[in-house]
Amino acid sequence: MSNPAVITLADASGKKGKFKRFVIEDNIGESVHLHVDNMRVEFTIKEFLEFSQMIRESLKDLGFLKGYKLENFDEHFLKECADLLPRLNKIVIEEIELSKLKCIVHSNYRSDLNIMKLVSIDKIPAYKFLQGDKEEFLKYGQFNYFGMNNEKRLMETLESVKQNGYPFQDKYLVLFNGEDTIRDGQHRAAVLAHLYGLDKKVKIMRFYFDGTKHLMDIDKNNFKTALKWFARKVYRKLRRYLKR
Amino acid sequence: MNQNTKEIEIKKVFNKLIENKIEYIVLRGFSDIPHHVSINNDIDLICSLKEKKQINKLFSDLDYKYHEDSREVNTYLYHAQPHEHFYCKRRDLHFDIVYSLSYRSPNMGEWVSVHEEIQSSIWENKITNNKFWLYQPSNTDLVVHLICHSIFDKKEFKNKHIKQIEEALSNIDNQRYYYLLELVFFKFTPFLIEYIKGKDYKEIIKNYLQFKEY
Repeated sequence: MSNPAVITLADASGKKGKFKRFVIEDNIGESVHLHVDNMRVEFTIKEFLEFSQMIRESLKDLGFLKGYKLENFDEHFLKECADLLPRLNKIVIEEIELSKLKCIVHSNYRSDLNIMKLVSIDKIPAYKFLQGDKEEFLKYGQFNYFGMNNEKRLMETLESVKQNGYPFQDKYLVLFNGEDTIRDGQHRAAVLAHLYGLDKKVKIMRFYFDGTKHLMDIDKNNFKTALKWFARKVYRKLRRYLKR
Repeated sequence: MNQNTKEIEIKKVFNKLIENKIEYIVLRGFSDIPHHVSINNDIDLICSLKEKKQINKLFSDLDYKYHEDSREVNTYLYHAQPHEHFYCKRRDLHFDIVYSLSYRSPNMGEWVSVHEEIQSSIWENKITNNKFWLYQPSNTDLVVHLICHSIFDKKEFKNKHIKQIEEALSNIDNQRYYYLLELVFFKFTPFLIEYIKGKDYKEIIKNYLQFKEY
């Protein structure tokens, strides 16, 4: 209850879906907790690693990733698109010129309004960093694994591509259906563009989903975000006013 | 403001706290009081939450400005409360008041109150010194607090904290020291104690975050 070092390893909680709370926490020195709604399962680290290995093998046996293994993907990316995976129909390897790819970047307005936009690789902060314009990327808000920071992560990717080439361990840039938007692999794309130029043709992995849930409408998304942000501001102002 | 005036101003605050029977403990940085404290090097006090209103009034009467850490920016868990800051630029003084022992989680920096027994231990075992500010934690509670403050809040062991830890370590209740640390660090506790004993401060945080033997 009072361990200050409770590290959230994964949080797939959500209002929709079967489980409202699905969280894995490392309580350093104590145990690993898996929370599924009101249930809590406690593991030692050894038990948790055995459990996750069993899940990996089960997903492979079920053909959940259409012949690929969990190890071929960034696990954070798979978690982020977990809702879509039951509709995954096939995975195809294709080739595309880096200059044709688009990337989703986030920018903050008034520090707490996060707006998305689609830009080409040469406009993303990671690419600019590699080209010497470092400031934006160092401040850029993005998910990093525990103990990692933006610079370290990008430099490790650069070293990996230099040493192991691309794709390494069948880890490709990932695109969805007919869109040319990178859903996973922006750092690798930035490194490839930096090393070989924007005209370079690279292999990518395209996920084909059934339905339309995978489509991203950036304008609609930004509108919803801005609306919620505005509502929150008004609510806070009202609350402050009523407290006086 | 010269040093003598500053000392008088600090004494004024402590005298008022004592006159008003407000319970407090100076948490750390004893050797800085009075000459090395300033607006940027605050005096850290723990007080009782039930006296929050009185404390606010007392500082307001002494013409100190007030600022509370933001609840919108920070997350407070398990009854942790925002720090309250009473400061005066003219006097170059800053009092940082907490109402429970809480530290920043290495997760997302959430403030987490530590175990109730650590909270009560600091009050039950507080010692009275012969300085004008009177109350400080027992050596055992002080070392536990400084270890937690260094690991969680500062993410490093600063020399001034190492000095205080080492001064206090020579006279602690070893059984209680182990017991209190175990309430925070669980199975890492024996390793932590060995690192502290061996003065291996640089390795502690990295090894704590990478600890796997549980």
